Amino acid sequence: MDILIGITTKDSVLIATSKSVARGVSVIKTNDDKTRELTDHSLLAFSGESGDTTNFAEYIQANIRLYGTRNGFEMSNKAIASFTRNELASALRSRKPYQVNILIGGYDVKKKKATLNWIDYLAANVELPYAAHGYAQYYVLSLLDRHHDPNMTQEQGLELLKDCIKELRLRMPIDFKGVQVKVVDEAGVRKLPEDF
Amino acid sequence: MAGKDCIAIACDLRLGMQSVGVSSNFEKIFEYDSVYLGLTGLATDVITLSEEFRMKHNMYKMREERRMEPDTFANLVSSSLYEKRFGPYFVGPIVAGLNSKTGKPFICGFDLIGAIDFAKDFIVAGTATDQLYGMCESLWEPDLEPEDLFETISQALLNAQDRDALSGWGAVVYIITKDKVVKRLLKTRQD
Amino acid sequence: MYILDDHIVCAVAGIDSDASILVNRARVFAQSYLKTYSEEIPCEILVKRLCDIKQGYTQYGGLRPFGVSFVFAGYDDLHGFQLYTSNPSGNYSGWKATSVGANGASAQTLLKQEYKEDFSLDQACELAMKVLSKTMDSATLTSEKLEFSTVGKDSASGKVYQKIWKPADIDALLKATGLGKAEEDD
Repeated sequence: MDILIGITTKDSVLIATSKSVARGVSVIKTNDDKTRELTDHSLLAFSGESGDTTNFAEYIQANIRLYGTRNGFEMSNKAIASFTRNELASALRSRKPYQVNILIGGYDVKKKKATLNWIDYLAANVELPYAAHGYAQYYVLSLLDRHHDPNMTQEQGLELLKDCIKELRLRMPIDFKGVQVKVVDEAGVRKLPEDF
Repeated sequence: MAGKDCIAIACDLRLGMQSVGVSSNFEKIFEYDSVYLGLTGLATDVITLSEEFRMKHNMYKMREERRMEPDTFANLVSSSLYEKRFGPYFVGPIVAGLNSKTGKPFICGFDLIGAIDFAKDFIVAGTATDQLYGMCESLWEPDLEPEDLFETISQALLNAQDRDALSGWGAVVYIITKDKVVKRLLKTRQD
Repeated sequence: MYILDDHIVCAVAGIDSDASILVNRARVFAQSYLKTYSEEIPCEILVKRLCDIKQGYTQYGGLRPFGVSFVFAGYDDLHGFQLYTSNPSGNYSGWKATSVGANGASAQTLLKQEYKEDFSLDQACELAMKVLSKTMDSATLTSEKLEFSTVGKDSASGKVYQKIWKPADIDALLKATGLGKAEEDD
């Protein structure tokens, strides 16, 4: 089961995704990137049925980029989350629904505010200070409940994230080959070089 | 809940996936000018329907150049839900409002395919319906004034949700009178 | 005068029945945008969309174009208060003050002379009324002969409001600006 974790801090969002891809009993990839950049200041992370996931993520990415070029300005993070939810919701009652869980991390340069949206495969969309998908939820949500502070700095956020990963390494029954961490802040989206 | 020339509508704030709590700030009451809609059930359908009704309500307002009355809105909810008779939205809606002409309180509830349940006293919906019926049945009395109605609905909701594992995590109460709407956030236990 | 959304109004010059089709299309589009994105539609996107529809009818044979010119007034976070006009060919343009319809050109000249960028809403209303009084064919202005609407922002709450004026409000403005009766003095 894939891991998605998102944490907002005072001035950024941190998104961690597991690096493994498994087919049946075999691990077939150990450096997978389960994220797509939607705009300069928003990042989408996804997990779920393989095939559905990248297809849906890239479909959303293409539509949001198209909006940007057509209208000459980028969509807000609220609009991005709402659009994504609507696509997922209309697919839900179609012949073949997408089975994709999503986190969208974004930074609003004008309002100087970081946001995190949690969307599950049923297309329920909520904005949260911190969130996770999959089995990881059961381990990290209680940790985050205890230690998260909306005014924490990016460094404190990363420390908290490290603690979450430590817990996961200890408790998850299957090796998820570590996580990749991306940060969204005023400067844009960037991947952290450290090995988590 | 209906009172004397006033109504009250209230909801908890929890959004969860079975036993896992996801959000403690998920409001289930939506405002369409002077009509109030409470939506419980599957979160995705709560969002979809609240947006759908916002769209239909706005179009009505612009085309008719007048506001929609609560009973009109109730019929809109009913027919919209029945449209999906064989693939329904999994929700339990309630509608509350004051008629703008007569000033009379209007409250009603629905099942998931749009059958309307009109009531003169109170309507409940969601996972804690059994508890809510018990509370409302014993606390509610006719012709309550706004402040007394607030106390009644708050106690009914709070004590019912404390006996339901899937409800809670905060609560919101609206008290609606002819010329004023008061929205209050209630502090509740967070477990 | 039609409300297109909570933050946009438009005025119509031309064939009314054509206009009502486009107005309906605009309202549906504004609402579906709100539903998809949970945000009010930026004014220019709505204007552009309507003009795309209008343009379509100039390119294909067998149908006549929409005989309507619009003036749109709206507000959004992107560009603040905005004013647009569009014509039957599907061209649109943004303005600080503008006019369309009969005697539109002379109204434009008057606006060019008297418009100032730092107008308050009251001053803008007064100028609009003045220009109307000079360019309309009828001798005296009354609330029965004109429609009036404004888009503003509440300074306290920051909420955008749009208002299509009631006849009594228009008469009050006519009285205040002295234009209702001033015509007789001329």
